[in-house]
Amino acid sequence: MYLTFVKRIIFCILLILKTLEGVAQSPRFSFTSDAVTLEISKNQNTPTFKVYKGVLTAIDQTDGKKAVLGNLTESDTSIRFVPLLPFQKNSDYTVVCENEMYPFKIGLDTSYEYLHVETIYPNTTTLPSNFLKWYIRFSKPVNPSKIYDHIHLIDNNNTEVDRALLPLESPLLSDDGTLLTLWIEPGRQKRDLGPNKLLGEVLVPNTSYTLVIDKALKDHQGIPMNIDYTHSFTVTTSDRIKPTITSWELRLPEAKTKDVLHINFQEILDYGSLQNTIQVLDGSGNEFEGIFTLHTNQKSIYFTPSNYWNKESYKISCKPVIEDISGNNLERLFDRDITLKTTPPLLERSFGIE
Amino acid sequence: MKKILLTIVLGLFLSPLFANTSITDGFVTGNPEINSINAMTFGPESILFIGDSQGAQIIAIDMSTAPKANNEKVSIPDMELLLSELLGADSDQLQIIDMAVNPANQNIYIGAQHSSGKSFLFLVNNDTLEMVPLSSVSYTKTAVSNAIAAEAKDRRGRPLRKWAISDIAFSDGQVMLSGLSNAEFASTFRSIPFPFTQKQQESSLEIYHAAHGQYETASPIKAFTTVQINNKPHLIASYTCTPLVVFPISELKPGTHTKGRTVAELGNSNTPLDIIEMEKEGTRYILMANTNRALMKIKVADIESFNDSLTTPVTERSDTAGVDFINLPFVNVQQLDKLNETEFVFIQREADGKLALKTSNNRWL
Repeated sequence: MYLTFVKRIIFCILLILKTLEGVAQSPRFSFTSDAVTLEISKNQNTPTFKVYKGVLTAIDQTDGKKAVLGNLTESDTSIRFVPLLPFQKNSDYTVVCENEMYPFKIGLDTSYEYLHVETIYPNTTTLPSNFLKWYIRFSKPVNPSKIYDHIHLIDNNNTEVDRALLPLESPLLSDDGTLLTLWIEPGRQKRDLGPNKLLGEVLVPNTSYTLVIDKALKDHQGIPMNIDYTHSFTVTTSDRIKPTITSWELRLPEAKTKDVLHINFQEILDYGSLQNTIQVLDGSGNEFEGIFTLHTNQKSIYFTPSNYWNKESYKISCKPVIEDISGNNLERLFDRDITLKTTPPLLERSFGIE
Repeated sequence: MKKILLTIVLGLFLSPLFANTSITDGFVTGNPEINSINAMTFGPESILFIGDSQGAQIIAIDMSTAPKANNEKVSIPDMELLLSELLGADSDQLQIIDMAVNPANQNIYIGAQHSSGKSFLFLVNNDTLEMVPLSSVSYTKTAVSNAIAAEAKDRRGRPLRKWAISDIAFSDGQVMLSGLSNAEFASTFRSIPFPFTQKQQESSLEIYHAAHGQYETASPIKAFTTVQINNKPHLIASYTCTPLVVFPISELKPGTHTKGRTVAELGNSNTPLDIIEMEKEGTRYILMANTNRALMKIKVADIESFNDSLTTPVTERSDTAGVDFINLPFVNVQQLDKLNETEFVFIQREADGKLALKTSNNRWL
């Protein structure tokens, strides 16, 4: 009995020693999002390794499978593999080194801030039936691939509206990947086009809708939103009136101040079309420099001059592309009736500072 | 995008211009600093043109020294899996942006983008994808003027405006590109002489609803190609909201609005994705890949005769109107290009959900 016990102890010790020997001979890898590093000793034969996506448990699983592309660099003490793209968080990878498998996964930081929608323009509870587009601001760069699969327009019968949104091969995302321009299907919104005749406008007056961005939408690192985003609104009649600068209300500053010029459009204008499309000109016709601050949902824009206002006449000069949220711009209606006569748009408006 | 179109024919006429000078004279070797690959096409002498929306530029890369790929039988049954393995990213983080074939050697190039915004260029070789390094290439480039009017930013300094290149083609010594702005719902179309100079012209192409018309629209162009119609170069464009419209290239003038004529209604909520021209036994055809319809075949001769009839408005006939087309048995074709005189190459979402790279030939013409 006693001898048996001693034999067992000796066996266990031998097993542990054998295991430690194995560990000592195993390649020593460290893993980060940006690299896999293998420590090597000077006298050691330099092993080669590859990284594969997914969990591999046997060498024959690499048959027909491509290794992750990247750059391998070697120093006296290490071999470092830097993938073309950082390793995805919460995804499985396997290092294959001399027929041995070393699976790894880069975990998600506990402090990770999940993707969410910061705001939407226009952020209103009513929209005209020929409304054209939203701008959706995300908290961080969003994954553009298959983005439209995650965006839905639901009517008040809880039914998804078919072909409501325009899917583009390359979604219109700002260069920093956070601002998405989302068009209502223009073929249905423009009168006389085939989709409009067959299916009608997307938005029906006196109906409520909810725009839903589902929580499966991922950020640029492949981490989903976690919480659905919803934006509800009711549809009113169509807007087929061009915006005109003569109807804008100006709240003028006083001379010898740097006070704000307040321009009230009297309606919500398109957020994107107001970027860099309004200028203030001085009495000589030169640009009077300053900063425009946009409050699209408040129907206003604010101009803060860089220099003091003089007691003279100024002008607001606008580009014709400024449009309302139904795509009617200063020059033309979104879908212009060619049987009606057009008049040139008024693009400048004078005002005097006292 | 992926068309060569008139290049070969026009190249014959233009070749004297290049007799004493190389088209790559102004090229330098280095990193062209491409921010994004949004559209690709080949021009003469193996020049690959890349439309870079983020960098608001067109890059021309000399690919003439690239070895000919082994593409005896082009077949990649699962492009998304292959890209996922190569880039180590989930397939839903990756997107194939465009495909272009070099007519000089039939090399097939694929532009792909990761959700981080990084773009990659791959060569199809031996039924796999090989990455084409762009850090040291022979290139020249030019900015797309006024692509984004002086960068506007919000209160937190984030950019607001976006002008995305939606398609690109080379014809008659010009790089032509269409774009999509997030601010104005209008069509802007640029043509840039190549070799690049400071000269660019911008036109606004509108749709004239000759087919059924009370309302005129100014929608952005989604895809286009150039083709000889009645012996004159024309642009065939599809819009984000309406089907096929034809413009004589001679009428595209800088800073002007040019009105095109609708030649075909292709069914509701359908937009062509790629348009190429193929020829068989002296008859020319347009092949179109579509968002919601099968691959379509149209005889150029039908467009030519239809064009003649559009001197007066025509009566709308049905859901689909204009020139006749034939649906070919290829559905969900997402990318399409001419491989050689008899074959075309395409990327298709198959019934099993896989995205496959394949070829077919002119027996369908």
